[in-house]
Amino acid sequence: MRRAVPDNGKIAKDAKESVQECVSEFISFVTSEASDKCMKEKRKTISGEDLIWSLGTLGFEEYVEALKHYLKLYREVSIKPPSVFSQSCLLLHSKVC
Amino acid sequence: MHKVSVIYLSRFEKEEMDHRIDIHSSSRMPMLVSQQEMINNFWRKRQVEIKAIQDFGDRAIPMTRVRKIISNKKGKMMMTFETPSFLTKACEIFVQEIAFRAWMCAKSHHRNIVLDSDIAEAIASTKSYDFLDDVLNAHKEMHHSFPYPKPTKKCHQINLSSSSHQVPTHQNQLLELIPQFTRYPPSVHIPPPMPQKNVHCIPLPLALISHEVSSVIANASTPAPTVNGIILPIGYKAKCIDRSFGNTTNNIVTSGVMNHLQVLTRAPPNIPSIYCYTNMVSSTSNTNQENNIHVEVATTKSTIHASIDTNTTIGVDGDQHQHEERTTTSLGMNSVHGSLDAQVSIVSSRTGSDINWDEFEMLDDCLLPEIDKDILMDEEPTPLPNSMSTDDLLLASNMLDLETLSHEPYLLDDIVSGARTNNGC
Repeated sequence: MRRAVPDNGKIAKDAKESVQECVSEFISFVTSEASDKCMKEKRKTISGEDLIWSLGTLGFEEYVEALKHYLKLYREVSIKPPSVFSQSCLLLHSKVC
Repeated sequence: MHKVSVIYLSRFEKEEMDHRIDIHSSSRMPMLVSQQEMINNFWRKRQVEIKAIQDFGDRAIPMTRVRKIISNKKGKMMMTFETPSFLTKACEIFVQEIAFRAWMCAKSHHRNIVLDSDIAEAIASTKSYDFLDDVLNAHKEMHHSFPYPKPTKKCHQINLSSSSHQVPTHQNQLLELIPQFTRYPPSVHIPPPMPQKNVHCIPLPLALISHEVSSVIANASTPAPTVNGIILPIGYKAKCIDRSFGNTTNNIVTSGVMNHLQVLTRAPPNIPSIYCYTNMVSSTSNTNQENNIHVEVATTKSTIHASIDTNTTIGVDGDQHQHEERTTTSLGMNSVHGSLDAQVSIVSSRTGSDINWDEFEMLDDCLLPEIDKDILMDEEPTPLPNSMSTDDLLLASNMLDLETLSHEPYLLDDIVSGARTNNGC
């Protein structure tokens, strides 16, 4: 919250508590929408795309663009180490061979 | 690298601040456009921030908490590995957006501190936050469930708020002693106060009496329950009353249903103290009716100094039966001018059929010793008789010396005596 408010601004304690409750409700809201979509399509796993879809459906269109990019970056970072490992394995294999 | 991005953002924020200062010096209409610009700016910054992320492990919101909530909601479904991290980031942006909008609301009210009300305003003004309305209402209810200050040791107050409100322990004790009494229902209404005429200050802590009890009392001696009462301890400090009755008024002057208020006064012999039982009975005010008497009370800062003679009665009587017995506190036929600590318009009726009885809390006689302990009294309180009937609606007119009442006839007198006359006393 502090990052969204300028340095000279202050946030009341009950405002923070209200936002905490709102966040919990936000997570539940988005998750249940994504879960319903998966059940309709008879899938058993909720993916990032389902969450992006539910965000767009529920009126959080501005989140879609920003979070699409985040998801792409996150997947790249998550996949990267195994690919480096596999490349190093290939190099070793070639050397051995 | 992450640090560099943070520095970059803070420069943006500074520019935004300067831009905001310029905006607020302008008129209202351009502000709305610039508010939209600020929101667009906000999203641009978020995009830049996400592009600059290097360390995905650095999170403002704990992911384990988010994972728990997702697990609760998804049920038997599974989720991919990026779901918790993705949703955590979404929550982060959500918090920032709501904080930003609340900050704009705070700025519009010329405040530098973001309050709960700003959050509420931001939620109300954004369409996509409609799902948070229930959360907001629940939060409000939780935080506003104690509208009244807790009673002090020396003040006897009865919580007149809705049944969902907690009652202070002292009042709980009182309520336990009156099992047949019901709590003050939220539907009881007191109309807005009438303009004061010849205002006199009488601090009167109102103890609302359930209609059941009042009916019992009324039925004990008369078929027509017309008399109710106000508990009126002498020397009750105005401050206590202000707090209790004032709060009561604030919370119950919400609709226009009039209530009957009749004053019962009783006192032990030779004791300069008055205990008046009040009962609020809903009815429509109709000062044109011959037998209706309109009572006006207003806030006061003075204390009541009254003495009671058990043989004296206060009458509520359109025919003014009791006028000859009236003292300085006697009441007029069609209007009562008295000052209490809260502005309450009360109408009483002589005939029981005109009365709509509402359920109120009522202090039984057995509670009077409790009241004695808790109420600031100028004189030594004496134990009151346990039984009470409409015959007990007595006020020592010659002993009653309500300083703040005028010499004009007052309803207080007439209300009490009305029942007495109806009872054939």
